Amino acid sequence: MAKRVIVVDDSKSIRQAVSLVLLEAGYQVVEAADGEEGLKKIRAFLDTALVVCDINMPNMDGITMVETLHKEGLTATMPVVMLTTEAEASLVSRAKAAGAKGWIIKPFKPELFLMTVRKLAGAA
Amino acid sequence: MSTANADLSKMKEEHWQVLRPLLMEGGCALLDHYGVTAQGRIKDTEDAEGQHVAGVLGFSGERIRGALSLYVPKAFFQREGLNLQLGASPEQGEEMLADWVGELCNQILGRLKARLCPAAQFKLSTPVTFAGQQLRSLTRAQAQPCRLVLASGEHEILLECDGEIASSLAPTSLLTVEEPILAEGEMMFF
Repeated sequence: MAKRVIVVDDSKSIRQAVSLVLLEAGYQVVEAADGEEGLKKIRAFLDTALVVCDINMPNMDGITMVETLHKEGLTATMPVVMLTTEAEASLVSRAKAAGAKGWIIKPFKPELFLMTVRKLAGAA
Repeated sequence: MSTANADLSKMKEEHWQVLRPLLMEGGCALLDHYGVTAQGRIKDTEDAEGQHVAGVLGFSGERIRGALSLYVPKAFFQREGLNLQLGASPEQGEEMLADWVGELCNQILGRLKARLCPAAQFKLSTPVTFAGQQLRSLTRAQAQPCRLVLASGEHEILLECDGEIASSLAPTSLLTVEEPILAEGEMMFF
């Protein structure tokens, strides 16, 4: 069974671009359009291999989502990588403190993105 | 979004002299990432006619706030070499193209933010996108926005940015002296 990656981003085009790379590499993909939906999907799929998460999103931002996962003890077993246009040091610190494992600046390069995914989630 | 400071006033030409090259360079660099070579210049001609897809993104901090708009001709999406990274299907639909324009606004402002000093930091809104013929900014008549063209062949993308800034933020102090922690496409592990 292919490993599952949950992609949380309010941009449909980013979700599609990320999903395309992941599906071609053999991963299973679940999409969510904001932090709230992301939390629901993550709680529903606790054996997820990796969460890819944007920051600026409606309803619940990505940092708050990761901090919530951290409080629930989920970031200890489920790696999270932030995929964002943000490079603000305070946001990086918050994500790191909440247990995020990596940070990628958009727009992403598919080959480097996939390398990050394989490092954190293992092969599909 | 942050609460506005009462000290804010319209950005002036001396501010745009600092910000304009960053917006121009950022817009061109990001289009290059998507496979299109573009050159930036100040918009000094009448608006182009025809169908456009537009995106608007707000930014707001204690000492700076405003909005950035992009107007992308629909014909641009047929351009050879353009790779939106959305897969092989040429029929992405207007909704997906509009979403991409909103995301490009996000990436341009994200890049700008990384080059501004700590006092000029802001939060980004989520984008609003729309499509139509002869689109115009309603605030253009009252404001004096920074207007740029990102030109690629016969296609011209209009970039407009308008904003307010605190008088305590001198144009010469807007830029950060620190290197960005990461560039676009780069990653780091914790």
